Amino acid sequence: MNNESNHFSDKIIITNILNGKIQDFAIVVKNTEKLVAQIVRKMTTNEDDHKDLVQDIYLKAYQNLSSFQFKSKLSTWIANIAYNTTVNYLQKKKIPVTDIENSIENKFIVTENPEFETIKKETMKMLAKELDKLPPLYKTLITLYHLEELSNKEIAEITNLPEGTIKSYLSRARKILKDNINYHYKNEKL
Amino acid sequence: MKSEHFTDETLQEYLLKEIQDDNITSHLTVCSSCWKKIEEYQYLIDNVREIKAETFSFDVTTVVMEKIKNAETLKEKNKNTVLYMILSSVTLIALYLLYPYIKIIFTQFKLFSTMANVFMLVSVLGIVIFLLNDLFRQYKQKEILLTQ
Repeated sequence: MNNESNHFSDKIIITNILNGKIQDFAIVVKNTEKLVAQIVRKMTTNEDDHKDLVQDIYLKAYQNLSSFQFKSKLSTWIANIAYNTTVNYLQKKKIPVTDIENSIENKFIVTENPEFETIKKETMKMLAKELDKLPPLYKTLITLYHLEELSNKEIAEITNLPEGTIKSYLSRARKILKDNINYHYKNEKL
Repeated sequence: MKSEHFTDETLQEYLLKEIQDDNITSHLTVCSSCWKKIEEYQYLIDNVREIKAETFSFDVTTVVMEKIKNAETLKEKNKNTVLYMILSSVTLIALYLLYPYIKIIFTQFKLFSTMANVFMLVSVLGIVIFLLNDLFRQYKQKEILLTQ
């Protein structure tokens, strides 16, 4: 029902825009900017490029709006454009999307159990730092799944990756995060 | 009961309720190692969910709408340029083809007095200006209606 009403309101907005009501595109931007921010900011670190990337993403969405076929949610479609545009940007800059050579996982195998009794604030700070160290794609997948609460199917539509790959990458990303946190605590104790 | 440990992927799927398996449930009651992993993943997931969502340092709507309006203006300009080029070409071709007849028409004006010619010219120009002005006014009204 909710999905249907989403499609209905998407349809009205898109029809208005295609009929020349350009300012209605601002509604689309407002409804999707949070999701786009999660993708762009998680995949790229250079703040100077964010503005250009966001403008590119929405301009592409605007120019191709007539080709949107309502097979998915409008937000998922725009997120897919955001993902593809950001991946192209990373490829141009020769930044690997899934490279994990520098992650701690490859250097250490942590089996010891850390004490999970540190102050919450400190933990959050450390976790955010560890999340930032992950490869761009892993960061994005973790964010889309756990923060945006998207399903594997929706993430697959955004990233054009098979659901199985998404699951596998997510599992790997969580394991890296867990091991890195363990490693962090282990080092702190020494 | 399964004695060997479960993989991290399976334990995560179990924790996220993506799979339901009694073997895992019973294994967890006896295996402290797997239980610890479950606890660690639970802790991780709970905390990841609390990480502050990313935002941009600029007003996305303003920046995007500005870009789109600029793109639209450019598109309109290009469209107008093409239209003017086509119109100019058609006019030039028409003038070239009609040149022999135009010559004949102009010789007809010599038959009338200067005053009559001036009167005709002013009348025709007045009507043309009135029609063009009306056409432009209608176009602007439609443009306002469509972009409102």
